[in-house]
Amino acid sequence: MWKFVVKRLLLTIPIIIAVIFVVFTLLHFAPGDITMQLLGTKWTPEAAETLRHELGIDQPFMTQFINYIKGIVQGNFGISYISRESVTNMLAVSMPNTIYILITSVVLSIVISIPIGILAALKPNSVFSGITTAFSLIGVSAPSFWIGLLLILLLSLRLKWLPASGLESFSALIMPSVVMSLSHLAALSRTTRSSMIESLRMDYIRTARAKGVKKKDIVLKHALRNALMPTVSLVGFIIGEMIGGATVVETIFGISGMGRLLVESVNKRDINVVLGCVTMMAICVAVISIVTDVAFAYLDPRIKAQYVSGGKSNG
Amino acid sequence: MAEVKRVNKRAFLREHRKDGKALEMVRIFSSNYLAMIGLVIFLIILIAVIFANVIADYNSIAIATHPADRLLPPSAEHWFGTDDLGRDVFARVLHGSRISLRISVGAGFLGLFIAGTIGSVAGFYGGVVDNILMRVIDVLACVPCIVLAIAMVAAFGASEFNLILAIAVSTTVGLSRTVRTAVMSVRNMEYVEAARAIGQSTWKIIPRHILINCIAPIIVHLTIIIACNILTTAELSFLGLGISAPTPEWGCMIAMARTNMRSYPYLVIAPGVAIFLSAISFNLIGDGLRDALDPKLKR
Amino acid sequence: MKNHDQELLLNIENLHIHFVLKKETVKALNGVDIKVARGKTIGLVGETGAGKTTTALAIMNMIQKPQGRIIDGKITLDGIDILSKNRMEIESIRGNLVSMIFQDPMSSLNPVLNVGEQIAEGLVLHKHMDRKEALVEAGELLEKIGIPRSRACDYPHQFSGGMRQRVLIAMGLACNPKLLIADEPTTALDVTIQAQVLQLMRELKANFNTTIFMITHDFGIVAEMCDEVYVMYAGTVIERGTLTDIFDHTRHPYTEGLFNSLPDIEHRNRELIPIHGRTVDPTNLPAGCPFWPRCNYICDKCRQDMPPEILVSDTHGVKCWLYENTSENPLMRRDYVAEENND
Repeated sequence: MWKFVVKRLLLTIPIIIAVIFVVFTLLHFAPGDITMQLLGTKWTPEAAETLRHELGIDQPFMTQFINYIKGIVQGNFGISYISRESVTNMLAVSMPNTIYILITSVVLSIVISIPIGILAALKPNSVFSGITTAFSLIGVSAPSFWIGLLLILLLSLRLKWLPASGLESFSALIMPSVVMSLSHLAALSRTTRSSMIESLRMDYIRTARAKGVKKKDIVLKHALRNALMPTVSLVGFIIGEMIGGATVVETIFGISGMGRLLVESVNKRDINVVLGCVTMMAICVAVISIVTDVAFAYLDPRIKAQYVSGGKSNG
Repeated sequence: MAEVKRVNKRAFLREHRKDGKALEMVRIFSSNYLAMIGLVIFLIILIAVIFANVIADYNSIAIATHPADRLLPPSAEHWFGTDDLGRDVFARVLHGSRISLRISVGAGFLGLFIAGTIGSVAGFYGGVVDNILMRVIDVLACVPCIVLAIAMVAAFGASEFNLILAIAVSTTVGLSRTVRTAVMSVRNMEYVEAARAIGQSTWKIIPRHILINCIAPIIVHLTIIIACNILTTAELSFLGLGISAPTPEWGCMIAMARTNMRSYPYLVIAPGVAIFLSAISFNLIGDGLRDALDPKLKR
Repeated sequence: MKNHDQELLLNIENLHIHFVLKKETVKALNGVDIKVARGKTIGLVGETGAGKTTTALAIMNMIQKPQGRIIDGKITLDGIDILSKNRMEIESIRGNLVSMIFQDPMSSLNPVLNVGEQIAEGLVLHKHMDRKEALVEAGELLEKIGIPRSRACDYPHQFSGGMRQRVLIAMGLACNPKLLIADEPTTALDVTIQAQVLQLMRELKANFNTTIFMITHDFGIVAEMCDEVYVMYAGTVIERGTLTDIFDHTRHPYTEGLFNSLPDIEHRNRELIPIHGRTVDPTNLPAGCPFWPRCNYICDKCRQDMPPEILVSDTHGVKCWLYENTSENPLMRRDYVAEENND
């Protein structure tokens, strides 16, 4: 199994480099002259040249790119053009906050939508199907930043129950996590529901019933584990989307995480920080997809067999 | 006699096969009350889009400032009140529908075009071409949709066209994978083989035989992606990375209203409801179409 | 009489089951009577849709509610009234007193649990063993059906179809049930594997003294395995009898039709005669005998009334108006005819 993980990690490296290449190229050839922005009124051709040399952007494109990759391998994401601070440091400060709300949001969405999905599958015409529909109507169509603002308006400004910003207490985590999960609850409970319905129709469920297995065990032991596969792969995808959603949520709730850092640096046109944030996010997504694959192998021995020995099957 | 019979047969087929199918779709769609609600909302939005200038002139009402009238509460004259520069919020929300739909529908079709090309080429040719294109998509898939859009806006700057391009590209990842799978499943059907066997060129086969058969899932996807694009447009503008003031873009309006949110909540609520309603109308129509066009896809 | 009752393991009386769907009602079973004596092997034969599997599922009380409705009837298994039991009670009967082997071994095993665990599950439930004991016992069961104990930790995808069917049989026999229902156990298997599985079932029957209720549409299997045969058509048993009753003294036109449509190596130039028409639509049963639209011997009565069971011998019952007043056999089995012609 570990061999497989290492192999997957190695396969991920070229993809990450490709991501960096794409974003690097995009930002490198972006219109506008960074020196004009930095020097402002003090701009002269000579000053610009000095600054370019200082920032290392006078070198040919490929050299710059290779230097950047070399830096990342050593954990150095360069420096911010504007604050001259190390991007690595900025990321190190902001990433834990993002991960913090990511974890609570993922846990929250799993805890809410998987049981609802299961119950909706077991009782097709019950209130749980209604909840699933409501999720998909509201969660998918309401802009999360707007819901966030309405929550702040109601719970912080009017009722003063929850803090409107920061991450000082656990209660401050509630609103960001709710906003972050809201748009994903629908997809998650819907997927769980439909794969659960499908799995409950399978022949092996009939076999289990014929064995006299109790209904609870049929659902939790026989059906759920088979039904969980699409859900797990969706959770992987959703975590990726949540990393993107962090840009909005962190901006609304004033959390100094990676998403907010990205938005602010785009607004300031602080290219190196943008690049660092996007790279870090891509690495996170790649790692999550590896975790998803491992979870798959854990859930389904057929997939595990493929990974471990290239598909051993006895006739 | 024989001639009459043939004509009759043709007429019969036309009536009973094609129209029957279309009628059946209309019937399924119209019996879905959620989809009908979506359609009604969509028609209202369409009216807003078409008659925005008739109802409230863009230059004199939607963006002209009236410092004397600033921050008025909702009244008969200003249905949704006025903002901090004295502009009528109702007029701005009305005009916002034009911008929002222009960007999200534009990005939807552009994204569909890009993804359709990538997906159908990859799915049709398979092999090396497929491998290369899908690795490119894999690379893009590593970046969350909105981050991809943000990175592109960061590179090209925020203009309406760049926004459309950025959003379109950010939706290609999922869409081109969908198109590819659809094309692959149709590619090996007999009639495509037959078309190839009689020597039709690839560029005729793909649109005529393959895409036409993938049209149902693609239309469904398009409506749902437009709904998604409405939210992305608003989100980017809210973050200050999309359309900027004084253009009455909904997300941008909410961002502006945020500072006064506590005392003037209607400034945040009105554009938000507009975003919500337009997104939900496309989502409901998309769900309805999915059930009507392809009952197999029904959840 | 009392003695007779004790010998009877399973008694299905006048069973009616309908599936009520949105637009229509599927009349799956319309008065099924089956009696199974202890230690016998019973064959239930019929076309697809005749209600064989529904009958089997009813014995397990596994009719899917709310669509499936038991309109009338009684099932007594080993003195227990199956249909009146609640969920808890029936769960302790399933897999314990009666167990079932399903048609498709490929999909009937849970792909994410290893086979040892799947066999052990029933033991834990019904024999109150702890997990460890049950796993050891499961290994022994695997040995008995000819699979090495070491493979208990393997998953279903690592086994071939025939081996999976063996695993299913082991699972069915785990708790030593009194009745084993086998729903077309060999249909999905290769012919050579079929023979092995049937051989295995015969051996196990001898060792465990299990009563087997075999559902099949293959007369070859019936001839090889069964003591008694029930022929079903449109949710009712139209003919029943011992193996010789059915095979050599066929009475019902439908049974005759089934035999006539079978190829026969001894009379290769005999024409195969399929039964004309299609099997009845269970949502729209004809009045009278359900077989009359396809029958070659119809009379007016057939179109009006369902024939009752007429005993043509002690062991042989047939539901056909042909035998109302006579025990003469008017049927002309084509193979007999062919035989005469050839000679």
